[in-house]
Amino acid sequence: MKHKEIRKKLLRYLDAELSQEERAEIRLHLERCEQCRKDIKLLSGAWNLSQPIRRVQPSPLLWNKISLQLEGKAQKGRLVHKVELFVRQTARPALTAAVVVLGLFIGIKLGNRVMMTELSSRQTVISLQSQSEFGLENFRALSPGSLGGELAALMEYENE
Amino acid sequence: MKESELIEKIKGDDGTALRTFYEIYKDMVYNVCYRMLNNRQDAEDATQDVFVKAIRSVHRFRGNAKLSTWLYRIAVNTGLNYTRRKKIVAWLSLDFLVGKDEYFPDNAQAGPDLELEKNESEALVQQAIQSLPPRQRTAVILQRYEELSYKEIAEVMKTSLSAVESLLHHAKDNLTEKLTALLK
Ligand SMILES: [Zn+2]
Repeated sequence: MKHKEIRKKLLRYLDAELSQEERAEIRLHLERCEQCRKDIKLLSGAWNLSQPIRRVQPSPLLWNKISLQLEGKAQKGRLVHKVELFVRQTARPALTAAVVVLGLFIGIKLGNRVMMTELSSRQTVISLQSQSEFGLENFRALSPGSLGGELAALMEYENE
Repeated sequence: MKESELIEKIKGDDGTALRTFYEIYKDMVYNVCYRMLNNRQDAEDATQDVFVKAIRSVHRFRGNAKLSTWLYRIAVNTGLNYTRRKKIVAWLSLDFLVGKDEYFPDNAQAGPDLELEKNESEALVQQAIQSLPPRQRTAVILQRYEELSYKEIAEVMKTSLSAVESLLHHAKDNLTEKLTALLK
């Protein structure tokens, strides 16, 4: 193994997660390489000597919040609440508006092409109709990973 | 009280059992959430979520896993969800909505609660762990902070032993690089 490969394995060396051969090879390398000796000293200082790791404790009031939420009386966590609020107040109306505009645009285009004003107005009616039905389903149709998809996941999480 | 007894009582919505359940597992859940999220307030919110979810879905719990394994799984998934959500909120620049200081007090320094981690090198270790991909991060947290065996980690993460080995292998190699850079 070369210096570069050895360097990557130093933490697993410290945690004894390497094979006998690998360990032997690294021991040999450490004898010869000053850089790696320095690094492993630093690493073991941070990785091993920072133990024992402190345990943290939740606030004594947490159970109250939980039991209130179980009784359906309390709010959800703040982050969840805020995102929900955003989706309701901003994201959903904005997306709805976009759908309406798109509907109108398609309607007009189609109307122009076939030169039938009647069809154009029908398209507009249809798009307005779908707008009123616009809800979570429309978010769900968006692919996961996209912004809409992520928002849908958040909403769905909320509705669980 | 045996675990199976406790579960039956929780299913029966017995108030004392619910409280006992919380008292037994609160530290475990809270600490996993804290290590996943690196922020005490978020960890508290996540812990709340974990217990509400667990209690509401306890009827789905099959006795074939330990209660702690099942709870670890809910905690880990909730932690990952929160991480994603925090990223979205940050990406959408919703700080004006949530109030940056109030909600993400430690975003600015991108490190753990300083007050808590007086130990500087542990803070660096945490910072390096946070930068790992989600599944590697989860495996490392369960091993390092919860001291779970490979087998237990595999059960929590619903994966095979060899997958856990490989996750930890890559996680540690990544950590070696990140940590040596941070420590310099
Ligand atoms: Zn070397």
